[in-house]
Amino acid sequence: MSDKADIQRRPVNRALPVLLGPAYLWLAVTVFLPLSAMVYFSFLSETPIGGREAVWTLSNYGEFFDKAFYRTLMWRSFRLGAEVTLLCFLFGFPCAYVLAKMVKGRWREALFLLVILPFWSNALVRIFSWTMVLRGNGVLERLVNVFLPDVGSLNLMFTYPAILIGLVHSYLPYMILTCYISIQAIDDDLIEAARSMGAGRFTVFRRILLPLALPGIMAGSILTFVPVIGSFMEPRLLGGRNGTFIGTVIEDQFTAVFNWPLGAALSFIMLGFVLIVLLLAAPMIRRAST
Amino acid sequence: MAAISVNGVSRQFGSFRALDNVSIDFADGGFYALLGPSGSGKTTLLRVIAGFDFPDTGTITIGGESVESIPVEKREVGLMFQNYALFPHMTVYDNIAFALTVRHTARAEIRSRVHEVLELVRLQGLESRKPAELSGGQKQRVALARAIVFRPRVLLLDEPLSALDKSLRLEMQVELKRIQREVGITTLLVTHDQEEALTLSDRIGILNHGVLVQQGAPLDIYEHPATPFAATFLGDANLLSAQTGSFLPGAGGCSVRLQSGSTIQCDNPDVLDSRDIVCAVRPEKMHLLRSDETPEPGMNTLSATVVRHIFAGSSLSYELAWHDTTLRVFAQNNGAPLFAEGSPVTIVWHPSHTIVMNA
Ligand SMILES: Nc1ncnc2c1ncn2[C@@H]1O[C@H](COP(=O)(O)OP(=O)(O)O)[C@@H](O)[C@H]1O
Ligand SMILES: [Mg+2]
Repeated sequence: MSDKADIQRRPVNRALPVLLGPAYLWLAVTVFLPLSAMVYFSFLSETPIGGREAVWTLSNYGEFFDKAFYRTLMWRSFRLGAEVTLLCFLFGFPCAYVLAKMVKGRWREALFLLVILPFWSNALVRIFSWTMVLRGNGVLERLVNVFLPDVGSLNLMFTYPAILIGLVHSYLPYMILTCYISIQAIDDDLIEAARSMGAGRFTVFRRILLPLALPGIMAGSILTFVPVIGSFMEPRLLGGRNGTFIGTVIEDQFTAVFNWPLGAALSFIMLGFVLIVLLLAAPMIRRAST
Repeated sequence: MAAISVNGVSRQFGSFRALDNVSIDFADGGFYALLGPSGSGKTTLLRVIAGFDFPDTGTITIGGESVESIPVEKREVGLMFQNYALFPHMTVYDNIAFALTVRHTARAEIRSRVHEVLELVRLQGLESRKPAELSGGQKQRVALARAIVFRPRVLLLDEPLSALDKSLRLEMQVELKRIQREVGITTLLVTHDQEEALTLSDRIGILNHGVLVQQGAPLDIYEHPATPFAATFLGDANLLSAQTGSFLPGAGGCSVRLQSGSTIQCDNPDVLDSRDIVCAVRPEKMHLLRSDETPEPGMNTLSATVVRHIFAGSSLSYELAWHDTTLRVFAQNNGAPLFAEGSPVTIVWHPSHTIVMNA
């Protein structure tokens, strides 16, 4: 057994640098260098442009811990991330199940096309089109009023739910695709075996589908949760004055206030919190990948 | 434990009839085999009985109770799948306990039931393994344990042994039979392996193109197949086509003129109706004489030429050319001299071993 493994391992070892090299070089250049620059900025007292004098300082990091405002925002962003992830799961998992197990052939292709349609349009265009739908006297309101004239104004635009709608729309395809892949890999016989042993639909879902699809659910959750926490376009365009999150504040530091050091420091603090959350979820992620 | 009764069941997929008016009864506690070539509708029939699929026409009762409106999870049927279908994320213990936990059985009761059934399939000590850590034969046993631990009314097995290699398969056949006897559960085994059907079951049903061709005890079907298909699918048979209308019933037996011109005797008056007749003779019922020997009087004889012999240890089989047909004859390897290739011989058999069937 071990002899055989040795024989197989040697050629793979030589191929490893060739296979991994390009990707890691690319990542090093595109991620590591800009990130290093940001680390550098985050310890400066001033944005080093226009000949201003900058000195080393920890005050940008201190600011976060001094002001309750940032902590509240951080908490709000994490709650947004959790809620969007949960909604994506609630909508995405059943959809992935139907795609993987219930439709076949051309219908599946057609439905898949619909799922990945959002990827085809520019994110900004996508969000702006939501403003058309959600604003007062917009498409949604008129549609609802056609059927339910008593409802009147929905007042959805520039609210928290509007942000949720926009973000779920943006990230749902990731959840559907990752769940689809892991549900599809589940043998139909397992589901039938469970049913023959007396398991109803909910038991099959809870004890067979959910654990076996966990890798896909976790992958989809991470792909949704992490970017949503730092998101700024959806909160800004759909949330208006209610759309202040840690992502929008960071963006402000770079584009409006020109306080790059603070923006960089807040980014790293956010990254730290994300890592803590992933670390706490690690046991579940590890279980999903075995 | 319960009897199963299938009455006039048909199932159509598009324009394709997978089951065509199938009626068959499985008595309480028996071991039945459904035998047929691939695509003959065996799995479809099993799925209809289990409740994964529903008949277009016809009814099914389990234990006298009509099951149309009962979903799979309420039918109390134990199922064993060809690929085992063990839950990969659960241990052996959890796999077997699954059906009991679903039923909210008390924890202590689950423990004792699981251990009891593990003992029955001889798998003690492997409780905490995952399916990926088991051999093929062990997975098989877990699958069987899992299917019987909740004491279902019937046990349905879909080609359960076909993924095993030959020696393991023979061992599992013995085990399966032993366990079925001990538990006494009505068992329905689907297989395309005639040997498996013959050794395991008390009764066999033969399916072909969705039609139940014949059913009966293994020995009965073997000795009295009702159609040429049954004769050739269950065991080996030499088919001899008769001339139309040449079937003549007589006092002591009857005679049939074959298409080659020879006339043979048989004492089977079952088929009287048909003008188109096929006769069959099992290869082990025939024996060979040198062409200059005289057969006993009253025996059927055909003159043929040896094409080759195939040596299989304890036995031999001869291939013989007779007109433009090839016939097979089995012989014991009892030290008698072999018939050389190309030598003329006489094939001899007793009239009672001629099987007469409708073509
Ligand atoms: N769900 C289905 N849709 C269409 N055709 C099917 C379906 N299930 C089975 N069939 C067809 O019915 C025939 C019998 O299948 P099956 O019962 O699986 O045969 P067996 O188990 O005897 O090999 C096959 O030709 C198969 O293609
Ligand atoms: Mg089959």
